[in-house]
Amino acid sequence: MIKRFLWLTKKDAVTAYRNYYFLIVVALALLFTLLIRFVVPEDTSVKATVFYSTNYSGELRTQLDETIGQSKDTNQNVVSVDSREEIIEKMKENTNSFGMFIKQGDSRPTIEFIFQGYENDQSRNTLIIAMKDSLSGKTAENPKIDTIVLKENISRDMNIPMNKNILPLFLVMEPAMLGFVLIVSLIFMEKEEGTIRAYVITPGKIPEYLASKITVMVVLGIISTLIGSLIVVGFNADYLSLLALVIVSGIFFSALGLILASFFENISQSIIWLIVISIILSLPTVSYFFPSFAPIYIKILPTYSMMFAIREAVFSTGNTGIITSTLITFTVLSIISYLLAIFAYNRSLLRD
Amino acid sequence: MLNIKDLYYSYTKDESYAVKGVSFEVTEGEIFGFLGPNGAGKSTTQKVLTGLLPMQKGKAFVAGVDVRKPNEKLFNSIGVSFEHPNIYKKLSGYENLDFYRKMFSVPTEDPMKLLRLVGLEEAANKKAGGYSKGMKQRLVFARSLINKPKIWFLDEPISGLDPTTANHIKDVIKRKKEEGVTMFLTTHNMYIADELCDRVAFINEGKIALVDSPRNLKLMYGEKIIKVEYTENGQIKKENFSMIKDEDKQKLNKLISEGKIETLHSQEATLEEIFMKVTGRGLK
Repeated sequence: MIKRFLWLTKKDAVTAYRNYYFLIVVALALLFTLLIRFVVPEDTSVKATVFYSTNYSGELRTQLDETIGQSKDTNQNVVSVDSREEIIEKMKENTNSFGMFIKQGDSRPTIEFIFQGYENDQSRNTLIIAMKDSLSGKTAENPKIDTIVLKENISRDMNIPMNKNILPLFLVMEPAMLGFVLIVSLIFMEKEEGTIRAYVITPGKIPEYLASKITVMVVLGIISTLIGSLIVVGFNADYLSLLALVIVSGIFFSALGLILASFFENISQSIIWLIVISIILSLPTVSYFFPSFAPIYIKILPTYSMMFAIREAVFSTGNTGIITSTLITFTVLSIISYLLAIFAYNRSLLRD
Repeated sequence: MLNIKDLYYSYTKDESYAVKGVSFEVTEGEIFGFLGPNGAGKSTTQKVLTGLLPMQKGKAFVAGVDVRKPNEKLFNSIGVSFEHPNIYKKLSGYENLDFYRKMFSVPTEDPMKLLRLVGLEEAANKKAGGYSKGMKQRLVFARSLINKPKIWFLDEPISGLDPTTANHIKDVIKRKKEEGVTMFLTTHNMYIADELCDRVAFINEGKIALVDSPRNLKLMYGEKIIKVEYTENGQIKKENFSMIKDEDKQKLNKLISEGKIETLHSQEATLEEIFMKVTGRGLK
């Protein structure tokens, strides 16, 4: 049985190679990684809005108003509000913003910078230094600076550069899900050749026949993952978890492709379903960029948890729970979908 | 080797049967022909016997294995030469045979030996997708011998082949018969059935109309007449002589002894004519 499975896998690998599957996968991985590295900018964020309010009426008030007024003249995104509470309210509505509240300190004014929580230390310090520079020469002594962070726990996730943040998306859409499309084309090629009829009159079994194809798809997924990840993040990823995630998702999506292909005779009959299912499975990408948008119909899609689990494996934050739970979920899904594929092929492929 | 009793098969799983109560036996080393027009039920019967279609009703034993529960022993014992070439187009002829060889758990033939047998040795390393239709068919024919089958299912084995290749394939079939291989040959070609088969079954609309040897059928359904062309007074004359009437027999003997006969043909029936007599329809 094992020997037969290995020969089947060899045959499928040769067929996939001669159909340029390996070349396509490597070329796509290189194309995506080159785009990530050299085309997509590291930071695409628009200039943050500043909400400010003053509760200071001391001797430096004029100089402070003058400095802020100059900033207001050159930047459209400096907005005056009535109170500290309103600053926080506005910041919650607009997450690409920070706040500035000027109040009376013990002997000098205090400028309280209010941050969302995802800004890194470098950008916070840059902002504070810029404010100090603007005031220098205008006041005898610098105001006291305080910083307040609204959500401390979101800081680390958002430190990932924009271009590298695309990598987990690529890993889900390409290595993890490629089996879904490629295995369908492999099956239809064999249906057109009629070779499965010749196979089923040998002692070979359907589970071996399907497993060999899934194995080739998983190998293609691993190659794509390694090319993509090594070029973009080098060795700075949890490769053990990443490969485990790509393997289980590769098995699941390939088995899903096998089930889909069992219902149709050729690729043109199945193309609409192939596109519709691919689009549905891609919906969680919206939640990836806008985490607050995660309705239940997106959360239940397997690609949703896979996307965040792969991000955790690539940009580790110590949240291993999401990797473990996704691995368990996909292992169960893979087993179920593989068994369903065997059932579907025993029923459909032997029909004339 | 083959024991079939009351075999029924319906594609729609209702009372609309493609095969209706077919029964026959094939002994070891025999070539059994299944003769019938397209849609008669030949291929359906063969598919059930080879495990390509599930058994629904009746009993069928192939190489001692109940076809209702096909197992490794069954698949190791049979070889199937499909009518339509079903080969891996991206693999070479050699790779196709080598791959199938690995699927069996019994001693197998050397792929090159089989490729030589069907005249494909020079195209052994060429991708099978680039083969002509005849070459593909020969490859399928060769593949069906890879596991040294005890029972060989042949579906229209010379259909679409040129006369030279067809003769070569027929020689291979005859040689395998001498080696004791049992064969189940489905065809609508009466000539190959006549030439190769020990017995033939006529199948029409899912039912077997009759089973016998081609010789017996021809004797049974042919006319006992000899058609003769002879010369008399410098002219060619044609006449039919009965093999039963004494008067005709004496006249024919006289023509033979005088050496006047130009051509002489017995008027035996062809299998197609017999098929038409029995079923009321032709084989095409």
